[in-house]
Amino acid sequence: MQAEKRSLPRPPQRAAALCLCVCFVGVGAARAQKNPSIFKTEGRDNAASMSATSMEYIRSLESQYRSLEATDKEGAKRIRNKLIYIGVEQIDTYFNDYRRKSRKRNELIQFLLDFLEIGASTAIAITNGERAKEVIAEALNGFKGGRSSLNKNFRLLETQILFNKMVANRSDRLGQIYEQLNAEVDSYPWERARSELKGYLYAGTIDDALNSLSIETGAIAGAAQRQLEGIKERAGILSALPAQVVTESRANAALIDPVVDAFAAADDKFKEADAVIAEADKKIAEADKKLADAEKKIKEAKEKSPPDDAAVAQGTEEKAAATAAKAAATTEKTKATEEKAAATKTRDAGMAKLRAVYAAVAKDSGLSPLIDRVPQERQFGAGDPATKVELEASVRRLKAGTGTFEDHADILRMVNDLALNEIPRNPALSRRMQEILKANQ
Amino acid sequence: MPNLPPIEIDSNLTLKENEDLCEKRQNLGLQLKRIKFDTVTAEGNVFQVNRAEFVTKRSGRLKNLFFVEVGTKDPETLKKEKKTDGWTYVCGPDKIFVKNSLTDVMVFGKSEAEA
Repeated sequence: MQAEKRSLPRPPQRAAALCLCVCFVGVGAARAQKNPSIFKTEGRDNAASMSATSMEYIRSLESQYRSLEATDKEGAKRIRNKLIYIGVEQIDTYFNDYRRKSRKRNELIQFLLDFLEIGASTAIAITNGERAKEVIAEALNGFKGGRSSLNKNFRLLETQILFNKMVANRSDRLGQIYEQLNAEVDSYPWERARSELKGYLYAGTIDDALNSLSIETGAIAGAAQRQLEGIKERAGILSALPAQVVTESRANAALIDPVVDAFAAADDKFKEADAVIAEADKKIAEADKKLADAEKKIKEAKEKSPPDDAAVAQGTEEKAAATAAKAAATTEKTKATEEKAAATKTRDAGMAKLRAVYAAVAKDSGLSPLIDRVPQERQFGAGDPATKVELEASVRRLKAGTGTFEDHADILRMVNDLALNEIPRNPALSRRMQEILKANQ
Repeated sequence: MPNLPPIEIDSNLTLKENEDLCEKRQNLGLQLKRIKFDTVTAEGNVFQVNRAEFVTKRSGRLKNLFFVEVGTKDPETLKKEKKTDGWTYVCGPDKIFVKNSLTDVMVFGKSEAEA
């Protein structure tokens, strides 16, 4: 009696077990729909497939197609189309079976996990004893973790997206097949239709859906990336230079810089010599004045009666000093004049090189349009009206043959920069610039 | 030479790529004055950039630039070290984007172009 009493569940546990049973019974009440009989296989009522066509019938159609293909093209076309319809029906059946099974499996797993979680929560509420509650709570955690892992790893929640993609892909392929139904068997034989039906079958697989999704999302990401790059380019934000641009930028600069540097150094010397000559001229003029004063002093001293010998001697000393000062200033001037001449020669040579480079660039059909582009370019300050006016004036002077050293150096360097920027599209321009620079060293 | 505008460099570039862009800009007859991080708004988008400013220097510029990450080094010590190696101080330390990360950088230069 005692043992019998122990084996019976306690009243709360009995109630919980009863609730769980009711849940199960309720769930089991849902019944599958029956398929219409037209979809059952011909002559095989109990067949598992929903296809309405038997293999024997398909074989007989294929055999008829082969016999008619050469003699009765219209008849062969009808048979081919029949075979296409049968193929489409069978593939649709296969796809729908697969979709239904996949959905059922997913729903069953989700239900089972729901059931276990609810059951465990209820059990915690009705169970006595801390240890038992702890164990059930751990189990509940396990169920929850299991669900999240299952959803994450098997992407159960993403399956619908894939099915949607499959439906879209299948519809595309089917559209392509149906467009060929009026085509003659010569251009669209059954063999080709069968191959396209295989494509239709493949369009209903997860692999194809994943592939096309990956291609589409990749294309969207690529387009967004290209759009962003376009905005950056229009905003003038610079990206990394191709290696060839870096190399040719250095090479071309190595050809322009010596000419500009030589001119600038000669120009500095020219200006220094000019200053020395001006200073020497000033000294010579002062010495001439002192010389004239001394001569006048000597003359006046001599004309006195009796002559002022002391004044004559002082005047003679002053005259000698002025003559020496004049001679020194003249030597300085001569030296500076020689230096100025040398500097002028170097400067003129530099200027001649720059003019020759400009003339060659202006004559080159590829490079000459770049000269006119300089004032319009944002990178050179086209956005600033004053800069634009200044650059336009430089270009005008160059074209009129009155360009200064600065005009030549600045505009040629900018043209070179534009040619370098063109390297990814037209590498010939930078090479042409290099050739012109080398020819005018 | 008219005042040319500064250049704005994409924040996703390496230190060397920043250096190359500044050297190419210098080849217009300019000398780097300063490079510093900034942002640019274009067509509703905000972009992180490095803004490099230059001054006119038609001849005798420091053609070869050398961008150095300061890291944990003392900038004055770094300046002395580089001076010993023949480098002339140009600017910095300033923060610039290097591969989208803000980095303290100092710039040095030499008159001889990089081989």
